[in-house]
Amino acid sequence: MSATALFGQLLLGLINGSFYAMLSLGLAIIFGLLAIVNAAQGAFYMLGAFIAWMLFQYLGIGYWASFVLAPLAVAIIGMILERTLIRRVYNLDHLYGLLLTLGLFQIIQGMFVHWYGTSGQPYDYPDILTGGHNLGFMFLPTYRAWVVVASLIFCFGTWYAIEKTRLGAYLRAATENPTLVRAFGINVPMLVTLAFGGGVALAGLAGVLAAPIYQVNPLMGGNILTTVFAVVVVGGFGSILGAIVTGLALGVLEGFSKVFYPEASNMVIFAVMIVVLMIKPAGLFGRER
Amino acid sequence: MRFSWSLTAGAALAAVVVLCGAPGAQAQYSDNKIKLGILDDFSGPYCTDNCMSPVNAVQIAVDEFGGKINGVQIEVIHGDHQDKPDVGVALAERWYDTEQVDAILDVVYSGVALAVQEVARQRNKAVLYSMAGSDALTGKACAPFSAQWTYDTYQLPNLGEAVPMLGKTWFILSADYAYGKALVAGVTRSVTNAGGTIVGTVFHPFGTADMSSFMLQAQASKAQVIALGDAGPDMTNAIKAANEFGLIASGVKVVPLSMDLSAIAGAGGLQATQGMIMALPWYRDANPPKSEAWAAEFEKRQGSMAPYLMAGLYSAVRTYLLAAQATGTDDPKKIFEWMRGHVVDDAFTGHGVLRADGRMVHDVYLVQVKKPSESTGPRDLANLLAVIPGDKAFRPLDQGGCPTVAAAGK
Repeated sequence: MSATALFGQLLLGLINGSFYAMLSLGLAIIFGLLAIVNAAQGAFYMLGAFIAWMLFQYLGIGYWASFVLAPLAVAIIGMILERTLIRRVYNLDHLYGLLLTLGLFQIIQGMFVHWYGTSGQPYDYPDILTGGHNLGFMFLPTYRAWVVVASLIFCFGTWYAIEKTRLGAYLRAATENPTLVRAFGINVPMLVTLAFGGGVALAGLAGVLAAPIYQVNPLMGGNILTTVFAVVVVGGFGSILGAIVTGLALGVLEGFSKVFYPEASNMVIFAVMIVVLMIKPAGLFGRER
Repeated sequence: MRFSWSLTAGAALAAVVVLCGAPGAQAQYSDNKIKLGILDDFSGPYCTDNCMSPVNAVQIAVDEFGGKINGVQIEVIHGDHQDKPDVGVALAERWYDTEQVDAILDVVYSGVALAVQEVARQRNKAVLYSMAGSDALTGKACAPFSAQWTYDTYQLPNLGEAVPMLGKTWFILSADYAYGKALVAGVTRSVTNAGGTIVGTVFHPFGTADMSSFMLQAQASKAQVIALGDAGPDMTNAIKAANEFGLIASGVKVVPLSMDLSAIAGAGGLQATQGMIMALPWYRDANPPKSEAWAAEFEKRQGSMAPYLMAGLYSAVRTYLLAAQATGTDDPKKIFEWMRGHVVDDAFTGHGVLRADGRMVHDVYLVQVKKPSESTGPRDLANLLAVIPGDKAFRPLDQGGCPTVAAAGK
């Protein structure tokens, strides 16, 4: 394998890593701010892709409108679930939140399998992002370039919003000490609902980005969920920057394993997870609590 | 006067038929009915398109006989084996032993089919496979009254005949489980025997969403042909990646081994699949006009495009019913003797032959998916490149290791 070919694999790893980054970022936000291990994140990813497909199939609404509408719809569904169900387990052990969201995941996935089967639906690329460029060492499809750019913008935008803005400061304060923040006249439950909506909207956005590349399939969320969980564990549960950096890094690692030992490519991330858990249980970027 | 004479003659003829035919039939068909049991996945991952396509395919054949043979009712039931061999065996035993099922049909998923094969063998009962693909069913695990109609894991990757047309250097991307490995072994054997070379083989884990890395490796190998030995969403994602990374545009021939034209819509339509090469056990021009008419009838009932697996199932059931009609019995021995002695000429094939090992030998069609601009409608998807004759497509009778064939040869 020549050096230029490896460079191509590096770029592909970054592309896949940006998907992991977006999905794990949503998980990290929800865990960091709500202390919920959201096992339904994969279902929201699948919903994002399916809503984009449905908007086109039934209403003729194209990619760019879906890029806004689908994550919004996912956020609304998520916020309704947060208000009606997830809210009730905040004061219980983490395990209850995990079980509840795992149940939600199974129900949502089961409904889509029932309605649409498992054979998958097609979704076309937006016209201006078809084709690609020959970079010399590899052929880069335009759409993949767009995926990297879009997810990096959204990832670092989210990081900035939470770590550097006043709203982000309120959010972080509300999770540290909700009673005190409420005393300042801030609507904490509303803030928490919005944070959950934002976290699942990131998954929905990743779903829309994935729709043209992969098959829009009810099972797509389940396939990626376990990997994303491993990414979050390696990065440190709740760490925003950790989720982004680890997502990209593990995407690259997985890409290389597809060259040197493809049979292990779905395991390499978990091998890293085990090593990290043994050496630094809070994750690479996590803080001991 | 002339009119009333023919009417009388007709009535007399009818009386003769009733007198001779019906009592004979009552004596020959056990339980005075012909009962067929479709044993498939009706709830899980192998159920596609609302699970009812096998029921519709079988019903078309039954309806062609007016629901009756020689005055005896044809009854069709279906059961869900849940992709579990133990569930499949329990259902098969109950159907054969206490519910008077004469033939079990289809049996998607070879794990269940191989178990059901044993049940049928022990009881000397009939079983007709379309979706079950393991070539062991007509090899070491063959049974006297079992027929595998549509395809098998020997035939799917047996593409030596296509090497001169497609190219000499092949790259194989396959799934890392038994089915994928069987396909890789088949492609390697047939392509090498035909003078081609395998320049690279990659096994990916089940459920790999992103295939782009493998497409880059295939590109770097400079192979002229890429064979895909995976199935379901894995295969669809590989096809999409082959298209996205410009392999097809650069003239590389992509051959998804488990693909059917009916799956093109789900794989991204002609835009994503144009130029692909497939070796199909059946397509809608396989034996015109019967094949086209059958496809139209199936699509009217099912509401989606006719897959080759269902055309094969229909043909197997139709042939079985023809045999039951001609022999006036549901005795598996007589029925299989009749089926082996008569050429299959229906919507599935014009000249199929059921061999002693249970393999139904028929032509295979090498087709290329059209460009979107060439297609005139949603069913106009491919051009025929070549017809691979049945004896070149399927494993020779003496190489399968079927014990009853070996015993007969001695």
